[in-house]
Amino acid sequence: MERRRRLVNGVMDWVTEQARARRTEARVTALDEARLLEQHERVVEASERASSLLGGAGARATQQRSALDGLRDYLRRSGEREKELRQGALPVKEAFERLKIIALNAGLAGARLGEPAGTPLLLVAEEVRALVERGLEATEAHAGRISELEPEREAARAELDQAQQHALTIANELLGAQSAQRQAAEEVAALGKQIQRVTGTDPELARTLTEAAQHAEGLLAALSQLSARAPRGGVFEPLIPLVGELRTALRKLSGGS
Amino acid sequence: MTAPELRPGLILELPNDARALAGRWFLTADVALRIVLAAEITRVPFSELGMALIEGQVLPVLFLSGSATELVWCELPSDAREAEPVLVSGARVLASGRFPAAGAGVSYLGEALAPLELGVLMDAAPDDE
Repeated sequence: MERRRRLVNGVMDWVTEQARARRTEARVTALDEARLLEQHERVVEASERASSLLGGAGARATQQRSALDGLRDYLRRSGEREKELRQGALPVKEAFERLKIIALNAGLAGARLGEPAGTPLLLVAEEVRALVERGLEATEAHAGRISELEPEREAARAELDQAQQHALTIANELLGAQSAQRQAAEEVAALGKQIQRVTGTDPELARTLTEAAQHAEGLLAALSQLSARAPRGGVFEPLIPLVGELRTALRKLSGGS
Repeated sequence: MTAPELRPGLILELPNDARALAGRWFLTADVALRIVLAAEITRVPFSELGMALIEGQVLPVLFLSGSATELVWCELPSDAREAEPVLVSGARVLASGRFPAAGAGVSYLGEALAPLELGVLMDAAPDDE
């Protein structure tokens, strides 16, 4: 038992030593940590943009559903109008049918009167009867056209049902996406706190450090060019040692790159 | 040259369900008095006859077909008594006026039409029991 315990402890000590050795080899600098924090900030911004876009999409989906509801109301009202039109055509048809009977009776009376007394009545009756027939045909055709609206409206209603179903699905999926995004934002915030705890770096300081490192890299590049081009014995010669020290300090600040 | 004889009356059209009577017929103005709107008709069961209330009178109705049309108010001449009123249902009135005589009937739009013998039809109206 004792031997086993010593063996386990020995293995654990060896694993810990190996991990420590790798950490020291990694040479993680303050700038690396600052850049990690900066990356985290960009993730937070991207997450906020995603939340905003999802919110906008959700609002559009709600507007779309309202518009579809409005369209359904319109179709319903259109159906009611069609019913009114159909019912409105009935009195017209009845009036034409009565007129037709009157014209036929007038023709019969004119026929009984014989010539020449009945001839004018006959002619007028025939003319009226012909016009009434045309009116009846037009009324029938009009009623037929109104009836054709019904199947078209039913087809539109079926398409609308499908569109509303899709809109509902989209709305539900957006809600799910928004919930997942909120969770992701919480996880990112928790990650940020973890990074701060592990690195011990303040985000404000990290931001300033990153900016300084960027300026340092720029200045380093400029000074390198200056020392390469400055002529020997010129006005810049006393500055050359100072430039060398400054370059060394800046190199350290930028992480040795 | 004498003018062709013109006969006053109605041109009726009976639909296919009138069977042997399907087609166009001439009804003389001696029989047809006028046309009235289709009214509430009570059919006598198992019969081609019915009854209708028109202008305060209960009149017999003779169904020539199953179609709902206007009613033709007719008076069938009788030797023995007053002319017998009867309403004819199921025939569509195409025209009224005077038509050129053609045999016993008339000519209408180039077609010779036979006269509709309502008295015969009334007597022959099936009374299935």
